[in-house]
Amino acid sequence: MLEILQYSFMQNAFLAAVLVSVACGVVGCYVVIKRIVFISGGISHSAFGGVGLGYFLGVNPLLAAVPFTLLAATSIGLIKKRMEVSEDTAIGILWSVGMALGIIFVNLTPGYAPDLLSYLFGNILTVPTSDLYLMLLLDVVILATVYLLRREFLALSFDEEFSTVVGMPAEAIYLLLLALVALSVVVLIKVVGVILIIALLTIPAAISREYTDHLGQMMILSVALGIALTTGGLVLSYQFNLASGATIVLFMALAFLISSLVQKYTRDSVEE
Amino acid sequence: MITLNQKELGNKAMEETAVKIKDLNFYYRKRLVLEDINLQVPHKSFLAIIGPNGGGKSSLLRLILGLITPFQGEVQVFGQDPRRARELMGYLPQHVSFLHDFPINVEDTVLTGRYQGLFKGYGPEDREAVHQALEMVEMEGLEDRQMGQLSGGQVQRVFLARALVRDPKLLLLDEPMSSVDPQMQFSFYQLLEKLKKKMTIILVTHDVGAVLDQVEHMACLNQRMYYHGQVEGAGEVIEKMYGCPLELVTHGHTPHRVLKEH
Repeated sequence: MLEILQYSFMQNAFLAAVLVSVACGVVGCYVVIKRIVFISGGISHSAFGGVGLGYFLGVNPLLAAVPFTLLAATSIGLIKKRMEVSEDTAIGILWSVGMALGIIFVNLTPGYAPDLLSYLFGNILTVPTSDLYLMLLLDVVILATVYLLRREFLALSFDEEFSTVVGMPAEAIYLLLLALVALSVVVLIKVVGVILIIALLTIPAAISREYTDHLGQMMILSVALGIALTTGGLVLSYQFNLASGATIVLFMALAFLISSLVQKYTRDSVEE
Repeated sequence: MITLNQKELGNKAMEETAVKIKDLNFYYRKRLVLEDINLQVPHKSFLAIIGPNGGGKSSLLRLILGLITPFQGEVQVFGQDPRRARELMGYLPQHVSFLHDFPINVEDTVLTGRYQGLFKGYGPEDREAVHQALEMVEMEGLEDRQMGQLSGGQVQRVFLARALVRDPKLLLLDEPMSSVDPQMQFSFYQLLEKLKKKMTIILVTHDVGAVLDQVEHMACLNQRMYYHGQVEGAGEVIEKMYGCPLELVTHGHTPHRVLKEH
């Protein structure tokens, strides 16, 4: 079993699993408790536009996805707040526009886009060391922001109107929260791809919620769960030669199912 | 010296008016919700605004809070733009809705009322204030309880504590009786009695009978302000305005309940 750690791509894969789990564990908690799952799905799909832009400009697609996804996240947030368009509609439009732009950018790029599929569905085995550094940097930015603004994010997620009443710049804080979702999306792209990202932003946090009532503990637990489930999925995909992103997602979904059943069973027996 | 005194006088005069609304019109989605509203609320007075649902009561409170801005006219809170006067205001919203699986306890919920600004943490004095506010609403000892586990009435009390924990000069209550549990109702009135000595209270309700013993001033709002003045005079107005929205909102209370006991 341990011999798979000898390969450098495997070492990178395990490091990627840890870095991914930090982002999705921390930001995923806000996604789950503030019920911004759909908006986060929109942001993650629109990130594909940034990937395409990277191909087109000849830069690292992951790097190009950073400003592009931030822009998409801010647009969704501003449209929701400022325009008389329903949030659903705004998300639906940006979701598909981002994907479409990505495809067009790739079309316009001469030559063949070799690992395009890995940006759609992820491949944890092909994360280069340079991307690990970018992921680490984004993790640090995410953790620092959440630490500094934990009071604001909590109040805003609980009661947006009241956070305005007590003098918080609520709109700016909300946009910043969406920006953190955007950065997590970039961290996650390489591992599960834009299409499967939303599973990692929801499942570890949703499982953790069942076991604690404290947001800080929920974050720590979901980071730990993320690491366990991502590496578990990685090992399974290696053993059975399956696509890593999809295996990780299905493994997480299985864990969620088991956890929910355990919770339901124990709760019922308490009530009896 | 003289200028200083005048300045002081000026400040004092400004302080004495908690809320001043001048020629205000407000539209929501192209519908005229508030029309030609003029209102002056002296500091440390207790005003009840009554009117039917959809009559613009909540909009008026939200205008005072600066959450929305008027189409025409002006709102001042202690002589300032409402958005600058937010630290002086405590607010109990009508709908105490929140996500019931949200991981937050009572203490942390009330603590958000003590928010001081970016990067400023909550200190021991904030926690002490939270404790006192919870005592006022008879929720002490439930600091660690999850919000999702509270009854509707308890949630309302926690949100009232969250409004009071700021030690506001102006307290805005939107339909506070709507989900107060019966055993709390009496102590709620006692609390208002105590609070009105310290702060201005504006209470909005469609249930006329409920609060009038403590209320000094009353206004009747249904898009326009139909009456604004002493409670004692209101009875006659109600009788005169038989077709007035007031009659619609008394829910079967006979008009004499509106009158103070002489």
